[in-house]
Amino acid sequence: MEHQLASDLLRGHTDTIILRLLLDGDSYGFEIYSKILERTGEQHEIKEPTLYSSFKRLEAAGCVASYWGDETQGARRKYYRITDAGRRVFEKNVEDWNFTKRIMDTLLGTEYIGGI
Amino acid sequence: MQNTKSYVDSLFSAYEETKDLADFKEELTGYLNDKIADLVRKGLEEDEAFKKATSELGGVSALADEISLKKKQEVIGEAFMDVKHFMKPPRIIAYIVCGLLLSFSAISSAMAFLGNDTVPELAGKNQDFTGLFGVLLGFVPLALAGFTWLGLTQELPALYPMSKKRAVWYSIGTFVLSFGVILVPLTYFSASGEERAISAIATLIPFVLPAIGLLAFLVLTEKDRLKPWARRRQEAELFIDPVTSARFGLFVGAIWMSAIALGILSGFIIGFKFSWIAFLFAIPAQLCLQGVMMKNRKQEHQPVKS
Repeated sequence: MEHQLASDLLRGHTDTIILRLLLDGDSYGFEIYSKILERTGEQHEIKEPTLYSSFKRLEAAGCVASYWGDETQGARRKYYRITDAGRRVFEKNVEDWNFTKRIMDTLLGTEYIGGI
Repeated sequence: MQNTKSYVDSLFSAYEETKDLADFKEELTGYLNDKIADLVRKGLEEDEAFKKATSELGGVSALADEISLKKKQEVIGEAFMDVKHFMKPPRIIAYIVCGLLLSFSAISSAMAFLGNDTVPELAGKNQDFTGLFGVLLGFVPLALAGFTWLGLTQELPALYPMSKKRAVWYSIGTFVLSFGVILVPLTYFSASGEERAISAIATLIPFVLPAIGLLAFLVLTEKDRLKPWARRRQEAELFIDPVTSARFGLFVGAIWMSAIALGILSGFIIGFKFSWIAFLFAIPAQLCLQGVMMKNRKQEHQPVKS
């Protein structure tokens, strides 16, 4: 059976996914794009508008900082670096996700874990 | 890969170039170059790679909307919120003094007006208003002149202050004009007999007329005090082509000319006590006109979304 990715669900976590990738080191748009493609075994391709609106949002919230690379030929790349605030947001988001996942498992699972 | 740059440029051609947008365009160009290079590495022809890489970029213009909206909000914020920046203590005190003067004159003229009724010998109908206008005459022109000077020499985020000397001329004009205007009803109510309307109108000649002349001269010789960024903005935003702005000017002129004509006419027919109401209609008329023209402009220049 073909699995279908719940893109809507994933889109809500784009910020967290990007923060996670930036934890590994500073990166730029296309690298993030390829990493997401690569890590999901080409199951999830992030759309450019989603990617860039996420960058904008994260930067406005102070979770990432950006700087221009010093490419000598062609267009420069804009690199993103995670800030301390970004790290905190990431940790919080992961906690929230784990909690949500537990609730979803409980609600969707056949057995009641919390019990009645 | 020169064509990625022109492609990105064409994608955002509908937007005014701001620093944010230029940054974003460069970033996006870099992204496209990377993506195309990657696809070429994977074995695609350059044309194919370009087509594939750009195929999903359409929605990015929504981001440009956001960027230019943000810019707009910033500019509006600068223009309207941060006046504090230009307010020094002496100026604030001067504003307050003028405001107090104005409210003091309003209160004491009201007292003079109401107080008349308790004095039997002044209870005649004609006497009623003299106290009111007499008090106004003493304070209102001074307060208005003060406000004029302060307002004109006030630096605003979008406007340079007027030179202090020129502002003094404006204040004098305002002072004489408001003095003359208040003098008309004062003369009317304090004089008696058949001739009082004529003598009231006659007071316009020594005060109101020269003041209007002076103010007209000042307004016509006025220089543009807009700061460069605000002027650019205005040119880009309000009426982009000279034809529209000329049309707007003509309409506004027509509105106010008819208001003045109507005011004078109704003054003779119904009485000058109510004729000023004509002007009240001119203000919303102008606002409506502005609204309609801005709306039209918006429709014409709506960026095309792909």
